[in-house]
Amino acid sequence: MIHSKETIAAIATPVGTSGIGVIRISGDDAIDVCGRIFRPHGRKALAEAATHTAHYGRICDPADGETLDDVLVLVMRGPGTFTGENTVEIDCHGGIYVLQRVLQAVLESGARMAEPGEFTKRAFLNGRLDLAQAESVMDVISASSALALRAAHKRLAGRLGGKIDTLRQRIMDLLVVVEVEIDYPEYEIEEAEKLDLKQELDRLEQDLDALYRTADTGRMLREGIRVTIAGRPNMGKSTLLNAFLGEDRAIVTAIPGTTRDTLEESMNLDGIPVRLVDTAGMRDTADPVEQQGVQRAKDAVRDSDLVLVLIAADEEPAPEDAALLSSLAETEMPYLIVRTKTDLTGTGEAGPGPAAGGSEGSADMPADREVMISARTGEGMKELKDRIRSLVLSGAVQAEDGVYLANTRQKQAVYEALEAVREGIAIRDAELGTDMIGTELQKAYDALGEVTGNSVREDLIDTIFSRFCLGK
Amino acid sequence: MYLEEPFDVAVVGGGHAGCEAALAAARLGMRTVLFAVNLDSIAMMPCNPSIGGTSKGHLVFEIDALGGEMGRNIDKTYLQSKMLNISKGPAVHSLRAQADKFRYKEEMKRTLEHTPGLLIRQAEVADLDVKDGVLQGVITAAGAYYPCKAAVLATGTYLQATVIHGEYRRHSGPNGMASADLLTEKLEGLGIAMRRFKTGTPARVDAKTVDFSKMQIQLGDEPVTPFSFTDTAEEIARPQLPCYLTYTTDETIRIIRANLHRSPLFSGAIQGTGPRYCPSIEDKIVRFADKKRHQIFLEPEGENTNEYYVQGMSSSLPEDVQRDMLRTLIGMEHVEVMRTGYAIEYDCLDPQQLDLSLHIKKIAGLYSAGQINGSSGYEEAAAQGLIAGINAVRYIRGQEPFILTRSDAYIGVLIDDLVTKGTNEPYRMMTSRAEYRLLLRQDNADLRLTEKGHEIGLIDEERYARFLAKKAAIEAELARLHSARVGGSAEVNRILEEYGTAPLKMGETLADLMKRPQLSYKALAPIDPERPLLAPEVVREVEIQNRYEGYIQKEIESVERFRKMESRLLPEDLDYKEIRGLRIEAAQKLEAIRPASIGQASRISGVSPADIAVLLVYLKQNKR
Repeated sequence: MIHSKETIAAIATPVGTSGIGVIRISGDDAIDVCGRIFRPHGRKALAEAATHTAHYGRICDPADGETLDDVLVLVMRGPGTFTGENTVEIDCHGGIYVLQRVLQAVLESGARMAEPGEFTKRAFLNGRLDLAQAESVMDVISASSALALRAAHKRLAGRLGGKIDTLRQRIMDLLVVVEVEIDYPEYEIEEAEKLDLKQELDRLEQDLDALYRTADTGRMLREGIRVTIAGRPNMGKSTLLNAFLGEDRAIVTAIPGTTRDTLEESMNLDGIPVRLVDTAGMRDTADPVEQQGVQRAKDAVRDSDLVLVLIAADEEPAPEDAALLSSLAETEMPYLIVRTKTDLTGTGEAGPGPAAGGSEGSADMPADREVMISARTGEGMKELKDRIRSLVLSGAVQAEDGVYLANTRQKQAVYEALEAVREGIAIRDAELGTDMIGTELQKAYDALGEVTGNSVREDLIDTIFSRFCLGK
Repeated sequence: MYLEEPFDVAVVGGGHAGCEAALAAARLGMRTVLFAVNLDSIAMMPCNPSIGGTSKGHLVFEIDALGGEMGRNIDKTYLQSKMLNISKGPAVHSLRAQADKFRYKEEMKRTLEHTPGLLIRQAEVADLDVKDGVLQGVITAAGAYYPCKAAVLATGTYLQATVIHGEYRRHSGPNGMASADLLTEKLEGLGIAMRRFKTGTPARVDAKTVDFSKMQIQLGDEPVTPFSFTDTAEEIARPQLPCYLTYTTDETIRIIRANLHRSPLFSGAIQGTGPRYCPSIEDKIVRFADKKRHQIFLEPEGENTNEYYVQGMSSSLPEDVQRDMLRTLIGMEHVEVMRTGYAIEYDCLDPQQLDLSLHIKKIAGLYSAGQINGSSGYEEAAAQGLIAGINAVRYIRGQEPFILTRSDAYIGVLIDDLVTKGTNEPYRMMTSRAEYRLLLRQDNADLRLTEKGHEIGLIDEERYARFLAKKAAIEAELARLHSARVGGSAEVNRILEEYGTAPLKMGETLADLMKRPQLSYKALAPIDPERPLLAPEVVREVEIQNRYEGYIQKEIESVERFRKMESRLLPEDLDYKEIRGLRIEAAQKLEAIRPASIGQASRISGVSPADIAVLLVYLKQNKR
């Protein structure tokens, strides 16, 4: 689709490994967009700034003027920039939560979220990259959009996704009545088919506004790499969590199924912020409370950046383990197999398992992913931490920006829909005609459908003819 | 076979598409021949007796602004005319006229006959002569070979047509005309993929057996608005005939339900894909089982006939069931049927085989327009006919094709939809298909298109001069309103109060004042002594452009972004399979449709924004 906003923005530093970050804005209006939310400490407005100069000041929320962060803003005028366009970089210091609020402010002040690979694409189209780089640009675009799409689908089942779908449906319900009256002016709309345009517009505005205000952009609020501890009951998951944290955070008993919910804790792994998630043991159970816990465990695994699959060193891997491992492999989720309770086998060697019998592991249980630990004695803990750390530093594990992007995009979509509905209300109040309200509702519907949906035109015509009995 | 004289352009079919194509070609100086299986079928309206309506009215205004004939012809032959949607915004004001079917086709045929360089010939075209992918001539069933440089296929619903009602099936074109049975196979032989669509029409009934007093009368506007920018309301004023509104009853629904097993739609006897846009009454009753009653309009077919068209009762049920169900309508208890309603199946082609100039990509010099392209409706057909006719001429002359985009006209939306997205059912124009409907109004069709019509050569100098004067008057008046200020004098505020709007505290331009919903151009006359004397159509245009100024401006901005994408052209010989990073599905779609531009590519279903980004990078890479 062709976007209505041509100035783009995104967080330019990888999310998850650092609380400090840079927001990059590129496009003709980049300096104006930033200028609207930037309060310089000096007198000079951003619009007058010379190219390649840094400016100290505050970023303020466009809605209420609240200070979001003290920042350093770098102004670079095209064409001497990476993308060849006017570019602004905002150096934020207030941590990830603030970084995200600042990005939100940038989007509200007239930029739109960059598409995957879009900065690079623009750099190329504006002649800033050489020919040899062109092919890799295409690879980046297709790979990152595939990643973003996967993340979007992952997230659609989420709370925000569900609410967006409901609102989108309500917009269509209203739109279809407006459009039928335009395209079939002589058709008598029956009472049951009627919708009060005036009231429903107001309601949509309220509900979109409420959703926009409360929409949690999800994962970003919890800093760091998300590491989920998973496995069958009584494999020592809670013990491992406690060993990481050095405190009795999770209840540890020998009764399988003790952890019925997921527990989350933050820790700092040699400078890397990590979010540890302890889950309920995965097994078939009739207990409804435990069933819920198992479902949450599955969700937690899906939303992870890294999964630790715990299997006691002295036990055979069960069918549940095999199922979990193969689903991780399928979704290309990074994981480690942690053989626990080595203190019980006495030797620190694995019992019958993937690494036993001199085998090199199967396709589902590769030996090179195995770590042997005893959480109780602390044996192997250092090696486990080192393995996690090197996975992060090598880039094999990274906080999935895609999920965050999908969330931010959804939130921006809600904002665009809200703007369109407000315009519709203004048109209604100025008595300019229902056709123009229809046009605004089409925009709202399209905005909310951006992640996955069909375009409004196809859906609209299908809905008109499925709902109304029309025709000569 | 024998050799006939050579022509420049041959038009196959004399319906609404064929007439516009032939007139455009001949008026542009081409020696043109129009073939029809029966000359009495020229400009025939085998279905509803009306022209225009929502979005279709827009098409007619656009055809007129480009120098087509439909608008002028309906202005000469209308029985009733009405502007629809006047309570809604100006973008969707839509003119619809009831036509005198008999006079409509008579007038059109007369116009064709009086056009220099245009020959009308009754004959069935049976074959095309194509050498090395280039059209050489057309061959009639009787064996006449007509050499020609270009041809427009406008075969409507005639190709291997079958008319069906109940168990009755007959090999026939619409309205008892002969079908054209030979061309389909030849087109397939040329590598053109054909398919089968279906449409239908209701019964015609005898007015003397209808009790109109039990129905609601529907009158036309006084005065009427002409379709053609060359006509004035006074010139075309004439006494109008009413239409009538009635309803189905419980009994109607009962009879239809009881006879569904005899319907060819439900027995499987009809295979063609029918339009959702004009479903048969039996279809409506099955799909909308909850609906208690349906609106039915009775529309006169002509001034000198008793025949009335029963709008809303399209059907392919058996004759006896049609008679029985019509007699259950209020006021039609004793009605006599004069013509039975029927479904018609016909061959047409997949429009994704065309480019945006309506040229069939496989064969140089061959164009197609109208229902053969999968559309429905007289107006949709005429619009395509005009464009195909113009482009056949431009092909012969070696000129760039004439293409209207989605931001230029409904015609552009229509053709782009058909060619880029294809259609699985007869396609009907709708205002909701247009992205820029505030710009694509009926009232400004001349402002949008007369210039282009003049450049093409279909708008003569006299009409063009009149158009330029109108345009200048609108611009001058808008400029004046934007600079003329009024202060909050007692006199001014008294008038504002009279119209129920807030008094002025500070000075304001007349343009801003006129934006208030309560105030019109006329209302401000007493406080605007310097205003010039202007024609009503200039005043109307000034009012619309001023009131919607902000929104129009926004839409113009989004059109500019749209144009940017449309102007990035894709080379014709691009090998999509070779482009790295393009998904296979996208590459296949692009390969099949071969879009002209990045913009067109982005509208193909199955082509994602990421694919478009990859294409942009690829284009840039190969330019260096």
